[in-house]
Amino acid sequence: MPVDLTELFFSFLKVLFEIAGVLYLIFSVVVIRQIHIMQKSLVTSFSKQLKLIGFIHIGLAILVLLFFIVSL
Amino acid sequence: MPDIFDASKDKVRNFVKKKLPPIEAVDEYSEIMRRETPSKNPFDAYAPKPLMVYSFDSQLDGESVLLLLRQHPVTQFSKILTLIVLLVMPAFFPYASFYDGLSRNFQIAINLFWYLIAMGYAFESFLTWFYNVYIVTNERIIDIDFLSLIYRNIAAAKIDKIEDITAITSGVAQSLFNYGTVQIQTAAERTEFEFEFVPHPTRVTQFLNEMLEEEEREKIEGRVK
Repeated sequence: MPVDLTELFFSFLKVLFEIAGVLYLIFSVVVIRQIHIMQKSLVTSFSKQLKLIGFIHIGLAILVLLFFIVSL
Repeated sequence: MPDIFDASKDKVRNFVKKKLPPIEAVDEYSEIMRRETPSKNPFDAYAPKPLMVYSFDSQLDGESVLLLLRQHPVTQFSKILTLIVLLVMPAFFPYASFYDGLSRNFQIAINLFWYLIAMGYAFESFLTWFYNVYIVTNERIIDIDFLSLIYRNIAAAKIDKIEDITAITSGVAQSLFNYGTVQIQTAAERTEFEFEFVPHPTRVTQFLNEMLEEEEREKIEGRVK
């Protein structure tokens, strides 16, 4: 049975995107952990907002990963 | 008849004067701090008597932050430039030969991921700048370093361990924007502290000298904790 090379390439590309998305999600979780450590080192009036931005960052990373899984 | 005891005399008033909280007491002995208004902006790179810093790790009882320093915002120029390049790059993607061969969804995916990386870069750069601080308290100097997401280094030395303070300003940008490095030699475990690329290095040096003088005065008067 002949293998469609184009289809194989796009399947491979999809897997690459998904791996990249997972790695980025891990990075965004590490960032949240780091914000937590940083906030313990220095408590400022901007600490809460930073944590919020960190969670928005994780949210976006999840959405992008879902897009990779569902749409590609 | 000469006054034997006059309670209105300054000497007596000084002797019985109330003990002020450290953040207000600094104005009593520091000419530099007397001229500065308390900083309310959490993003200030030079923040005298900061009101937006509530506490820090390893803070001692009765210890107050008198000066908080970060690297001058100008030093972040290369990162801002990199971010601008990252944000502009997707506009050139359609000119790449492989781009047209991709389906619409893959094109969206590339753009989304690119912008996500740009956001992560900006956020991580900001965090590193925001939390890399140098703190001068009424007791110690503290250097908090976060060189990467997984590396943290906090070093501190008591004010009375300071032996030598030098302010270095070199180059056009540093002269133009008035920032530089303050080198502090100490007799503590870590012998050298560097407040790198901080605004107003001369003012910082003067303030540290005033702190040192006050510490010596405290020793003489027996007010040392």
